[in-house]
Amino acid sequence: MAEVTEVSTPEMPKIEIRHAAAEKPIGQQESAMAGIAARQGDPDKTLGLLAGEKEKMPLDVPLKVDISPEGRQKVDQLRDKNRVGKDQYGESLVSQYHKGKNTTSEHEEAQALAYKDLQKKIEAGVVDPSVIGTEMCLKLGVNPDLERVPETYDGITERVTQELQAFRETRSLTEEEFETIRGEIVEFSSLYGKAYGTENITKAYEVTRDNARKLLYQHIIDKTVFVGSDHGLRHIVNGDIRFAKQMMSSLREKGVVVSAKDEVIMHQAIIDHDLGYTAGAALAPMGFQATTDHPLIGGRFIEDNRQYYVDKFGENGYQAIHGAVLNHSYPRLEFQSDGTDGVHEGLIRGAISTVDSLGVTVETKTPEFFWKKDAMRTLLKIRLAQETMGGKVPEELMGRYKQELIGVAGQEQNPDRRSGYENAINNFFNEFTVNNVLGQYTGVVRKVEVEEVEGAGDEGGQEGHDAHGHEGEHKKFRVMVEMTPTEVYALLGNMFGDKLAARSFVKTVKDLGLDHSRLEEHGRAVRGARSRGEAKEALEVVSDKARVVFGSEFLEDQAPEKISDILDAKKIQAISEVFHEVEILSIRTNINELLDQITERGTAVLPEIQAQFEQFISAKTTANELRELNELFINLSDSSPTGEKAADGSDITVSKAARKSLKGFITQREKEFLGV
Amino acid sequence: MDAEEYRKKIEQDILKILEEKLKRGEMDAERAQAIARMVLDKLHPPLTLEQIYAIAPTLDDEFSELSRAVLPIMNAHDEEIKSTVLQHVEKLIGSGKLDEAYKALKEETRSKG
Repeated sequence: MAEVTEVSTPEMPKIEIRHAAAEKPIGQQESAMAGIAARQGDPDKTLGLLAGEKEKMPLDVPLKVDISPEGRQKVDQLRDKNRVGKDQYGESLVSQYHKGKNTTSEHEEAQALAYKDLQKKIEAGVVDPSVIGTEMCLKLGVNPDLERVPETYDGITERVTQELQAFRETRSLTEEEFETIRGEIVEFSSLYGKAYGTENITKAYEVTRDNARKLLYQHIIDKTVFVGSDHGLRHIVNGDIRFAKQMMSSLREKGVVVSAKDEVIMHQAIIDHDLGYTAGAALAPMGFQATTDHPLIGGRFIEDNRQYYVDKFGENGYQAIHGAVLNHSYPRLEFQSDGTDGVHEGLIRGAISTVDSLGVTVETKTPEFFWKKDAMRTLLKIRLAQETMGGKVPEELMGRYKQELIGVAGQEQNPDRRSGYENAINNFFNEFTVNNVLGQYTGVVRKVEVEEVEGAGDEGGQEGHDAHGHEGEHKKFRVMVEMTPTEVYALLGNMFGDKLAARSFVKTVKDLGLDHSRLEEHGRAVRGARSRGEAKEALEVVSDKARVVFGSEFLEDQAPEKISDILDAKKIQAISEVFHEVEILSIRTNINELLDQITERGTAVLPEIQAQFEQFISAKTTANELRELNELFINLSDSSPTGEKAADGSDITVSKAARKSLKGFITQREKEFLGV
Repeated sequence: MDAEEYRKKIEQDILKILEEKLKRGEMDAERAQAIARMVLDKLHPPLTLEQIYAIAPTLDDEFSELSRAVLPIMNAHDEEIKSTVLQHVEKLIGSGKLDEAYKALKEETRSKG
């Protein structure tokens, strides 16, 4: 097979040269071409190499790290909440520039403008992505210099594992987390060797070591903030990388050439894509505006370390990583390659943004802390309080719930992680966190694949590749996602509405051009069918961009060995139990069902519905409560005005007021559960 | 584009030509090496834009293959001079200095040969 070498320069398009290195000895001409190919980016160096000058490049180009007193001072300043806090940071650039943008192209244009404007925030001293490397080394207490470079390529993972082992021994990492990082670096190192050769051990060691550190660092930092979802190993490795691997296999099966470089670059971009969340401004109390800008910060970190990335992945590899990180929040569902074994920037951009948009479900997004039964019980208290107290939990009550969560944090053995949790609860936790976390229980993603659809696949500028034409080049693909709903999702929908239950998946569904209303109904339909002993069919929602299949069986009903590849079956069962406890004592489900039925069937059938309702809730209510509820039911059919006006100017009728009172009605048993 | 960016751009254009020629078998490694040596010698940084414009026409003196990279530089330079002279002439005409404007135009035409 002909070997393909690539050359690219900052301003010039990629050049590819095919030469038959494997078929015949390299002659002078091939050697000259290889000379050009060997050096990417700097034309002086390329010409020097071609002219026969000795290589003057240093053996490695490290990440920017400055642990001098000045460097440390800079890190301290960028971690000072009084300098980089939410008031100093101001409005998120992403929020400003993406208002009213709908298409992927519009988002990409907006993101480019927002990215340019990040410079102003850097100049204002509220963020500086170039110090992330320094922050990482200082936080982990590791030496940025290259020490003890292994003598063989195979020794790389062993050496990196030794460093990780130290964190395992100090309990900064659990055994499971240690194994997750180790597994990824073993895979990364192998892929890097396949893509860029195993000759330069120093370079491969450096990038593999840095990736282990980046994974560890992000995981540790993630435990100190609650932005509503996991940005540690669960999301990066168990989510995005797992999905990306499935997708790459699927693309290859369909004839698309995913090169070795594409594969390792995808790993790299996924490892880097959420680094922006570690910026001081994003870690400041209520630093949500800065967290929204995390792709800009991450992109700038890559740019600030351009030489490092060019050294490790070539100019085109750098460009691909930078673009994928900067635009990872805006799915571009294009997966074509030109069939060569070079770097396919569009394919990488497409795959990463797609898998990241799918990383919104419980197994990849729910922070570890909320997998604890007691923590989940408190979340449900807060949600119930929100539901019955007009949307906002009174401050004093919220303070008590936070104390409950601090109690859960106290069970954590690792002191750093414990104090991280406490910081997260005190400074980041609010109703938004609760709704986000609960909304992640839609289900789990079992499989991500691509499938061919009708139409030419040349939207991504794939024309004119006759020289490298191949089977998968002109095909058009859509994403195929297989999901298993959780019973928790159905219970949540019953108690607090389907919108909350499917909350985290709505953006994804919208990105994929699907109808989310059908998804909202499905969980309840599966649950209803199960209680009636009926079989429920799987739900399939389709667009030209995606096909999502929601299974007919709840995750909790599946045999543990069937789900062990995705999550710990015991954990999901424990969470499910908490939801059942609350559903048994609460009347939320019954009230929602009653109001839904009246909406669907009209008030004429009120007596029939009311009789059913009484039967279901009699065990949950006192005689007095039942009487009060009955009075409200009677009012549901009264459309006379109360004399008050709603915010939109419409009359508030007796019926509307009764609906609102029913929604907010709270029983003695619910009060006891809430502790009010 | 500043002078250094421009210098590198020219080097990149030349590299592109070398690659194409090597790929098609229209150039051997020795000639590519000689060209690379010459380019490095002549376009050695730091250079001002004026120096680059002065050096550029000599790049294809010995290696005609490079004229494709040299011509755009010459054209760009000519355009730049033309535009500067025209601006100057317009200014002179605007301020009623017709003789001086005529002289400047004549000078420009003469320099073009």
